[in-house]
Amino acid sequence: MIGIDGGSQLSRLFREPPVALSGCALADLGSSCALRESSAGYESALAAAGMAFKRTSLHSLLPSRLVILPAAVFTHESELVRVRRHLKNGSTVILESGAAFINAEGFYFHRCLMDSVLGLSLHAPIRLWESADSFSQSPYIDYRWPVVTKVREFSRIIPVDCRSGETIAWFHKLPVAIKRRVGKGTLVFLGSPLGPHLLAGDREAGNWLQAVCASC
Amino acid sequence: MKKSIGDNEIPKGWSFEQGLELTKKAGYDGIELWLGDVPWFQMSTTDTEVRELRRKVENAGLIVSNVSTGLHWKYPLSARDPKTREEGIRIVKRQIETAQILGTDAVLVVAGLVTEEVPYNEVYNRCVEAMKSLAPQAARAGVRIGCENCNSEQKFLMSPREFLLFLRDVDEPSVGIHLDVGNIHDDGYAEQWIEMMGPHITRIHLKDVMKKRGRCCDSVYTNIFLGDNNWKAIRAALSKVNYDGWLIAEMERRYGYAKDQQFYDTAAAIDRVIADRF
Repeated sequence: MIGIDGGSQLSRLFREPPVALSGCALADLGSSCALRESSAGYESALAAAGMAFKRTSLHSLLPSRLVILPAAVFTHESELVRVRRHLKNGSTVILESGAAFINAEGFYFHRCLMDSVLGLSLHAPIRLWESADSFSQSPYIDYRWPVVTKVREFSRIIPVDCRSGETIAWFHKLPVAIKRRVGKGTLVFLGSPLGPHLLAGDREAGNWLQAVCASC
Repeated sequence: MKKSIGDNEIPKGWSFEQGLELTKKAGYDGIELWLGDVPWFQMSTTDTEVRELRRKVENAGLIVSNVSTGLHWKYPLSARDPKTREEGIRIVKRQIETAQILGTDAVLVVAGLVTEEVPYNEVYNRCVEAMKSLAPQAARAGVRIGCENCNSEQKFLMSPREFLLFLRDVDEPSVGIHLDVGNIHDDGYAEQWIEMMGPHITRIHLKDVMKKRGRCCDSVYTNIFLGDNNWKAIRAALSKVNYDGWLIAEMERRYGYAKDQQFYDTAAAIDRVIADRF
């Protein structure tokens, strides 16, 4: 016999059947990708590591365990709503930001959307190499999840408010990557692009990606 | 072999026409035009104006040896910012177009720039990709892209084997090396570069270099025969690889006085190189 609570849980289950997730998807973002070499980097790194993946447009993206959005610059709400749907269905989404490479107006729209749709509070991009003293310290991003590693910064970073999630990487004391639960899924936001480093064969960037793949 | 000199060596304040007259009088056969480095030849210079430059060069009894540019120090093909790279590509495309109009078949490109910010592996891949993308246009125009060896300044392709590997990875006959015998510094020997590059050489820049730095206040580069290049060996290597193209003078340090005299002195030095008379 099913009790009242059990019945309501069951009916909820029937209303929201679990979504079957396929493997890894690399989204082809078209004009919403600010660095084409980032997309190529993920593609080559996944292939080199022997990881099966599908390259597909965001529009035709199937529910997947891991979704990679390379150098993404979203300026239309519908795109981000689509991303949120995948998160709610249980995907791990790597949202690598390419927004530091667009103009100020585009960044403004992007930042508003990221806040309103995904609850991510982004700071204005910083051009690391513009001030003469910016590199009195080492030019690396320190990752703490899913592996502890150092990867080179990519000239421009987007710091993210640490209250937006669990900080997983810093540039010196600035949080530049976070992860957070969204629905059943996990959003991994990268404020410093990794894709170009993957294309250049950077070992640490490759290890980081493999560790994320293994974790989901 | 033929002698040429860059129009960016024309003394400041002189007009293009005055520079051409000096170049001819000093005994050169041609002139190297530097896109973006001189007021008369900019990215904004129209095709009609470029044709007019050619007419002036030919009226002076000279021909254009090649089209060079220093713009890639500002807009490297290896930049991380795609917009900067696009501008770099646009500059090479314009070099190719203008080379065709000017009746020459070679352009000089500073292909990549390794910096603290942009590391070697990134630069390498972007440069190979850029050259592969530019090669078809160059081939259609009958122009060869010569990537200059700016060893010390670029921190890129530091040895001749490395440069050869790069050219093999590009794998396009329209892409070669614009070899500067003064740029090799203490990283090697110009004559060995000539031997190894052989048919890949599109043009040759001539200058001398003082390999022990600090002997000169602001530049290690100096006039031909004043530095440490082994000119006898360089000349022998040119013969060995049957190089019969342009030798283009490039002086970093300019005479403080009698600036036109440097044109005459350099032309005479190149004559001695060509004549193998040391």
